[in-house]
Amino acid sequence: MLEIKELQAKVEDTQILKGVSLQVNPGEVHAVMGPNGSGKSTLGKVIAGHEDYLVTGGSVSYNGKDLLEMEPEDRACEGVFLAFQYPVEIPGVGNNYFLRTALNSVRKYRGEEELDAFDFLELAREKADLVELDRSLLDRPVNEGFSGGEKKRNEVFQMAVLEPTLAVLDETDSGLDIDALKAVADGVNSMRSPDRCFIVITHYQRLLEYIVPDYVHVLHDGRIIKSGGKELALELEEKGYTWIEEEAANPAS
Amino acid sequence: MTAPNAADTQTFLDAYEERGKVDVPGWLASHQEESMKLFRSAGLPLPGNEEWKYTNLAGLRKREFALAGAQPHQIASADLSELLICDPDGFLAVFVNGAFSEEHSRLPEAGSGLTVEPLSAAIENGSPGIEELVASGKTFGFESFADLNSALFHSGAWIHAAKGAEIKEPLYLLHISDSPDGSLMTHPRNVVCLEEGARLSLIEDYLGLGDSPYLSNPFTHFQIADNAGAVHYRLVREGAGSFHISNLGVRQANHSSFASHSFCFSGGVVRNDVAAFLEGEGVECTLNGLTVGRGEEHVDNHTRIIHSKPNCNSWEMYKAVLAEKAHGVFNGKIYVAQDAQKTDAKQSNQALLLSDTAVMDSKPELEIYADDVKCTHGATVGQLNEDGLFYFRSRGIDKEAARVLLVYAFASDLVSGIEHPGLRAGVEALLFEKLPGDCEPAGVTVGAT
Repeated sequence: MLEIKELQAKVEDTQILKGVSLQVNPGEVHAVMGPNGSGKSTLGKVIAGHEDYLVTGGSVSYNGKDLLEMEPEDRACEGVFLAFQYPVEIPGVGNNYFLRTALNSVRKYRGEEELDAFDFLELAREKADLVELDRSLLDRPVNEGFSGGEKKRNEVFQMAVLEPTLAVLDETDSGLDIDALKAVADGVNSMRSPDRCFIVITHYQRLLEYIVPDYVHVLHDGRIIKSGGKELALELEEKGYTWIEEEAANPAS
Repeated sequence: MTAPNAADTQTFLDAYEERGKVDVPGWLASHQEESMKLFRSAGLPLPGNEEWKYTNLAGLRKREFALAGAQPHQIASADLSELLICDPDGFLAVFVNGAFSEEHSRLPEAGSGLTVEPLSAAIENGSPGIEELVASGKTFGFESFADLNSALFHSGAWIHAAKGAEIKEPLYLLHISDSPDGSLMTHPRNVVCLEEGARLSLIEDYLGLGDSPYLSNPFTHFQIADNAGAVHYRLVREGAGSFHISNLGVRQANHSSFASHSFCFSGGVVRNDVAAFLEGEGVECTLNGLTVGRGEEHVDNHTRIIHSKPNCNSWEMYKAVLAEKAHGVFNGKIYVAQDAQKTDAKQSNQALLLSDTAVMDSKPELEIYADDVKCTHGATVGQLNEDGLFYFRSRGIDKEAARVLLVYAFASDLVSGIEHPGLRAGVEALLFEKLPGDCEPAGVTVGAT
């Protein structure tokens, strides 16, 4: 489904990704962990197509198509979704209007009929309840004045409405209290299905107690230096990142 | 008695003399003569003039203009409904090439508390107070274009709201310019008087048909008595070849309010001067403006707010969206006299530049002589929010639609400030029309859904 091969990317003059390879199959949940500055968020942004990130090598294919050749909006229409670490506030545009415009763009691309305001509202309310997002936030400007937790719920809410086949969650747990974390995780878990895959980017193991991954990868200095099952996350929680970094630096020992 | 640039004023003097002694009262004839003298001695503003630093009138200087006749140019009724920005629920006064069109207008009945008449008729009938009010035009400190208007105005609207009259529906003034040969000039004069406690909303709409040159030189002034309140909307939708030079003067007495919302959507060279004199205590004054410019459009907004008494508030928010080679100018002066303690004045000017060739010049001027006041000003010039653009695109919205939505978002607080729903929808539609791309406007504004 998603196949990343030797991906290299830089921002301005700084090389961030130095050769990342990752294969994610339908139905799987992959966690990408790593210390600050290891390139986790960059990976998410490159998959989504942020223009500040220049791909300098490697490839990303999704359902057999070259993702790197596509505009960000076309990637979204192909089923890619990035839950932002820092959701953007857009004063002046209603949350509902924004999301209906987005959903209808995606539906149009897929040759499906567009939803009118009434049908959309019904869908939006159902999905808002699913992620325990206060319905009153639907009428507010996008993310403006939302608390940290509300912003993250709003990301998961958008994901629930757009129903992507590949969802990348970029530090969706950061800044959340335990109740918000559970609500967000419940929303994600309810969307797990055999034809949908997830990449969960996180710094801490905590989120992975609620969204249990099939695989865990450790990103360090722009490369995946260790991969394993969900138990790897527990090991990281206990021992920190240093032992893996040392292991990677001295593979012989 | 002539300025060095007398040649520039010749076409206006010719028009004044050609019109000759029209049948007007003596006070008006002498007022017009005096105004013509003032205009000629000052001449058209030259590039060295600080107040005209960013607005060059070279294109205007070269041209010759003539006044249209007293008969309105014909506009079919079917066309008129297409030309209105919204369906006026209230009263409507239409002026075509400076002349009042009775056929298209719908004026209030006598005794309703609101008097709306063509200014020429009100002068002829000697409406009470008209001489002083017309003459008060010279007290706002405007420059030579206001004098030119005083010398040459033929008509416009005389608007009088009686004591305590609360006029629910807005009064719509539509000024249409149609100048196929490129020589038209109009000098509409709108004189508005609100007696104690009266309430009125006024829409001034300046519309050009076609791209040929013309000069539109309106002058509107308000006199607002104690506890009265006026809401003023001003739309500039002039033709690409137009010169639109406007003056808006306001005098406010105790506890009165005035809110002006100005929208400039098209025009060749546009200059709007606003002067608000807060002459009573507890006065509230709001001046808002939105400019949307593209091509080589030039829009210069000059405002002055004069606080002369204690406990008055003024709020000012001007925004500009400039694409291609458009040029925006904002000059906002706030003057606080020594006696105007407890003044609260806020001024903000924000510009969004959509191209590398668009230009914004912004100049706040604060002159404060009182010591217990709050006066703030801020000016920002920026480009489209790239993070917002990526956010929208990452949700499947294409780049062009995302840009339109973001520009709309920038302008939306000024649009959502329009109370009248029909006018708000009309302005919203114009905004989307002027922006690139194809995006459905309905329901974008917060609260409009």
